[in-house]
Amino acid sequence: MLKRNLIVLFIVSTQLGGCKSAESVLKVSEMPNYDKKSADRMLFLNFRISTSGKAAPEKIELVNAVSGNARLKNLVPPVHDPYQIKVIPRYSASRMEKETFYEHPLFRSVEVSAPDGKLSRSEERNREGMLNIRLQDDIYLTSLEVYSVTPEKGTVKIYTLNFKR
Amino acid sequence: MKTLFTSLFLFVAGFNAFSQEFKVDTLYKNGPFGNRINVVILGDGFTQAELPKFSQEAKKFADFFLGYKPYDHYKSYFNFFAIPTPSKESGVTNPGTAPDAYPEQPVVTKDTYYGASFGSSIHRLVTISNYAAMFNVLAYNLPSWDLIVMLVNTEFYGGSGGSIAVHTLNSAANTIGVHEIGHTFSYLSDEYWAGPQYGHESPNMTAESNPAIVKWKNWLNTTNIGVFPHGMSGDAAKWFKPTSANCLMEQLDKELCAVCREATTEKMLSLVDPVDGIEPDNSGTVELAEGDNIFKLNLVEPEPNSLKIEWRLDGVLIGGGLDRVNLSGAQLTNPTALLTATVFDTTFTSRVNDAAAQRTRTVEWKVDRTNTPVTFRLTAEAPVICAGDSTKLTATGCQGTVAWSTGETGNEITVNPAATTEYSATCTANETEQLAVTVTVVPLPVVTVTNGGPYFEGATVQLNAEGGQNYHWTGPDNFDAQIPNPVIEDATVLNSGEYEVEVSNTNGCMVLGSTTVKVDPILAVDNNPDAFLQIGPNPAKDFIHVHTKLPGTSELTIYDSNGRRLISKSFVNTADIKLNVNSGLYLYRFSNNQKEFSRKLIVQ
Repeated sequence: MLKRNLIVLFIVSTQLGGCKSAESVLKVSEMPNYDKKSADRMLFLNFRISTSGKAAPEKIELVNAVSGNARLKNLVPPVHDPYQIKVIPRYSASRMEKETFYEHPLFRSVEVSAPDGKLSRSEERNREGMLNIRLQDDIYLTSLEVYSVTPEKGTVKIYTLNFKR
Repeated sequence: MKTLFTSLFLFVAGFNAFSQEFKVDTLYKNGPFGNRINVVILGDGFTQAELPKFSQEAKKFADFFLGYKPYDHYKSYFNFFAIPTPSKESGVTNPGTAPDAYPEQPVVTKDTYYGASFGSSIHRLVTISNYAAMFNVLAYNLPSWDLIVMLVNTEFYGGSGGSIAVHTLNSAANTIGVHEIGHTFSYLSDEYWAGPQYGHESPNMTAESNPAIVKWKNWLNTTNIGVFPHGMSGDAAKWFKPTSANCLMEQLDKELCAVCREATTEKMLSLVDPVDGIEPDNSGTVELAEGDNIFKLNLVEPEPNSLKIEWRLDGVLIGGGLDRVNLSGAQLTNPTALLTATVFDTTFTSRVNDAAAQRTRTVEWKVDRTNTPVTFRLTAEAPVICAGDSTKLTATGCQGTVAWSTGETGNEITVNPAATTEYSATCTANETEQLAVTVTVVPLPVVTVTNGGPYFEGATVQLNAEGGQNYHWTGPDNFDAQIPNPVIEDATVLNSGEYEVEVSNTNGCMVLGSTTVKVDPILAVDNNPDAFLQIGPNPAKDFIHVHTKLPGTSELTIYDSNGRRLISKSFVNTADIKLNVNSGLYLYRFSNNQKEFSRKLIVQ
């Protein structure tokens, strides 16, 4: 059934002189396809990450959020590129707050193949890219912290998505 | 510091997340989502009218993947689904701006469901842009996916990796998907040198070069596995890989090497429990009935089945090899006992140390015989064994002492008869009771293993094994086959070496055979051989005369057009060689110390 309900995003962008990371609030129960009866729910989140220049801080915004009923297997491959996005879920109860690393969408190392079977890698620098996260829902999940990890700036928190129940 | 506080209350009407429910094509459903690896295939650039084509292509890729080693042994460990989503336009965007853009491919912008496009700076880099659409489709239709493959509707070559494997319908592009799944599923490294930032420990990459302790040491000296540096200088020389230009993780025209197959196998086995279910339920104590009490495992079996199953009662082995056991109350020494089934995959694709300790699955039942009478019983752990094997005989239910026909006493003995033998046991308690059990000995298969060589490069290598029911070949260049007479077409020197074959008969008795294949290069003529060798006449009839100015022993070998060696003669300086062959075209190979070359010989 077409569920065109409202995702209520209370985007509270609290920027302190450009130093403090942005925050927003996602009302989980109003996410499309949300099934409150399900014991195993996952959150599918698409973020757009962009920058205005090489030295400028990354901007991040949630552009899509949808829920699905499933249990996540831990199949996130390790990221070895020095440019990474680190994500940490926070809980209000005793839970493993496990860091997960993703390829940084603005600093991608892409694999290029050729019909003769040869492979190579190429560095791509983008002004905009997508970060796609699948996260197991938990009633005690309170927020998701997103960090940019780069050799130039180290680990910088760039965003917090707060979950409202 | 200037403080800026912005508070926005943004009501967003569903983004792209309106309901996107589509028909999900089940390509292969082998079990529950939670105990299978779930692969979903999506398609971009297929219009509504082209969705049947997408479904065909999805099935084609699923079959390609499931036929790829080592996934082919574990087909039942996967579920495959396809979700057809219609694009407004057929095809894929081609910006045409990359230096390597195909000149024959039209520059065009297409409105497609996931926004697939060839690269703007690297043409072959085909990616999608509408990840939100992808997440919506998956969240609504198949949220339990583990791996995603995106097929892009064009025959032009291209693809990319990352969190999803994207590739076009070009026949050479299928392996892009398998390669990328090697990264995302098995956490394999590239075996080409991608740069120092990619130097890290992984199943197929290490900084350790000592063969005695390198992580793939169990595979050394087999199937082209070694310790190869990624490069000869700089950081590349500090990192090592198991093959050189012989693995899918280095070249897309190669198969996964043995080390990568092992890592992939271990990953599959870590995710899928071979015990899908059990009977009866083990949440409480099982009261044994007076008759049959069948305990059963519902197994997910590899092909060929490499699961080793053992049944134990209070730690004592009472059966093996089967997915079930029939337990009677008489087998329990005490009123209650613990029945244990263990399942271990003995797959030949993994040589990981302590594998049995790491991934033996155990199922337990508490059993109670309070309501069943105790009777004397005799069981053989394996009533049918292969020649040379042994088995345990167990006596249960005897309230006194047990004496065996072998002269031994006790509740359990081990026997290894050379031929089928009946053993008896006598229980002496208040009364004396004797039972017998027969152990049947099955002979091992008598195996013949040959090949049709030696061969020259370009020939078809023919391997032959006979004498059994099932065959499993392994050999150089990651060779793997499960038929008695496999062939290797267009052979190269890389196909030279020892080929081993495990041959088993219908009873599962197995022997190992081997044959050595020699594939020689067709060498170019070096150093003008006419100056030191004369062979004639050519064309010849009954014989040829050979004369060389080279000192020492020379050898002349004549092969037919299939590479079979027909005549070989060692000589010093001169020789007359009788040709007892039919008319036709032959090859001769002359060798003397380091000089070696081949030429044609015509026999009339």
